[in-house]
Amino acid sequence: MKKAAPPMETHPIYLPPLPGWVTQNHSKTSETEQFLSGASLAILHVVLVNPSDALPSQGTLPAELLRNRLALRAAEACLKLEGRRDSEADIRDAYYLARAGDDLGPAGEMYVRWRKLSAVVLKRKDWLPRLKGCVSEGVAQELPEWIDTTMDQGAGQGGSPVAQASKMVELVMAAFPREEAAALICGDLILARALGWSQPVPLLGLHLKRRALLASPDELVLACHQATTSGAQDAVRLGHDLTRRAQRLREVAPKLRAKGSDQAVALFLREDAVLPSTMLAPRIQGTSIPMTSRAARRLCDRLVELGVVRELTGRSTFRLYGVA
Amino acid sequence: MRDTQLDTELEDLLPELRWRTWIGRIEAVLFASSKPVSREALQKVVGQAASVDVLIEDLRLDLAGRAFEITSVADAWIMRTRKQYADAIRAAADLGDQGVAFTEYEMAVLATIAYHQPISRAELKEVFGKDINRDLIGRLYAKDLIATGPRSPKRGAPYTYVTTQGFLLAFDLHSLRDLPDMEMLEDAGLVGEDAG
Repeated sequence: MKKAAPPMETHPIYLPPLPGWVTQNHSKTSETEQFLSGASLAILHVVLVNPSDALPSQGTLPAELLRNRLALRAAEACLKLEGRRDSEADIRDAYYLARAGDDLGPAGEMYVRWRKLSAVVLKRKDWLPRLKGCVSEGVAQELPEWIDTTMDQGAGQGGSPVAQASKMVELVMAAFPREEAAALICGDLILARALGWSQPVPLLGLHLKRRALLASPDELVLACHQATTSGAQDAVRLGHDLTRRAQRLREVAPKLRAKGSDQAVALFLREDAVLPSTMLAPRIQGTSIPMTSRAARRLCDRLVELGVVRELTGRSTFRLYGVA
Repeated sequence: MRDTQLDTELEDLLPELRWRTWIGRIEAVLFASSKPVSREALQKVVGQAASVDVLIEDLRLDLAGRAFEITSVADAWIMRTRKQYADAIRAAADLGDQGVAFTEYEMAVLATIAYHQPISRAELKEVFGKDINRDLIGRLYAKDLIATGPRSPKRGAPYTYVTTQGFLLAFDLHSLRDLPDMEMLEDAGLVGEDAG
């Protein structure tokens, strides 16, 4: 009864590449580190700005999916800084398998903090209270003053966005030496704000190491440049990958005949992972469209068959599906 | 509940007396509560511009040499007797089961939950090589040291266990971050390789 899926129509899409001169090894001087972080951020900027409306040959970046997936990586890195060893798979399970009223545990909570950060809209008035919601009350209370200090330093002394972010990391670590995650969350927000991005993107959170966090301010700035370079290049590569995959998912969407399949596809284009039994059934998350568990399972199987979605866990039950 | 208008700004008092009154209020609130009191709650009884942290610091100075102290736990504070008086308290009152006294085995289970959370009963069994008694888990619940975490991706979606704020308080930890480093414990040969 199954028909082989017809060959996929693929539109070539143009994605701004990472030129060799930003990825090859340079000498590790502060001058080259600064050069590389600026260059990498500029390329990421083009990926994020997403000019697909102007240039239809460019794919549309699933920006929320990109941020959620970077948040997952940042959560893993920060748990490691705290001496925990939860893998990405552990974090996904903690977050997606928790039911209402369940405690998320340290892994799930860390992911929530980074997701909340990436959901902050910087041009909205409530960005500060939202940032405060990602950190402990102690850090939250100091934040307004630290943000002023960071910006003074930036404007007064011509500090680059990375230097401003580094200043914020330094301030949080000096006052709360055991709150590495808070320092990185606030640092990434300052970076995005200084760059004029609409929402923070977890970058520093992916690569800053404990030793750098405890180093002198000068060494910290350098480490922030390195972390920004690595993080921005990761984000560019992941952004390209997700753009291509999203494009393929959008192309097969019209072939799906299940009721609500468009909304389900939209969910896959936002969420890192989808647990069909709670996120597609009894209603597609974020909509009022009903879907039975069986239909949800069948839709996921069909998407896997079409090669546009993967099962992420390798389990036979409690399967999580995602664009990958 | 009636909305009682508490005068928090105390503008008719001299600055020194106003500050003393705020410290007194915080002391009273902490004394009256058996659980940690959050910064938010404490801020409600003092002036808007007053820093709870600074007030707590002053209160700590006042309490120097007294039998009780202020301890912070996850952005909240609690007043409790100093450790050196534990024997005296135990000698005077038969505390029975109220105190957080553990057997070595309970302690091992609790530590395993703390490090491997979220962890299910089946996974605990793998670590210990035998079923963990439901009563033991029940006791840890009753002492408010553990709570229910996300479901485990196993048949029947069993609960997992995670630690609570009460756990942090009982072991004098500000956050889980203060648990002894796993790698350090491994180096010292106190725990084996990660079971998960």
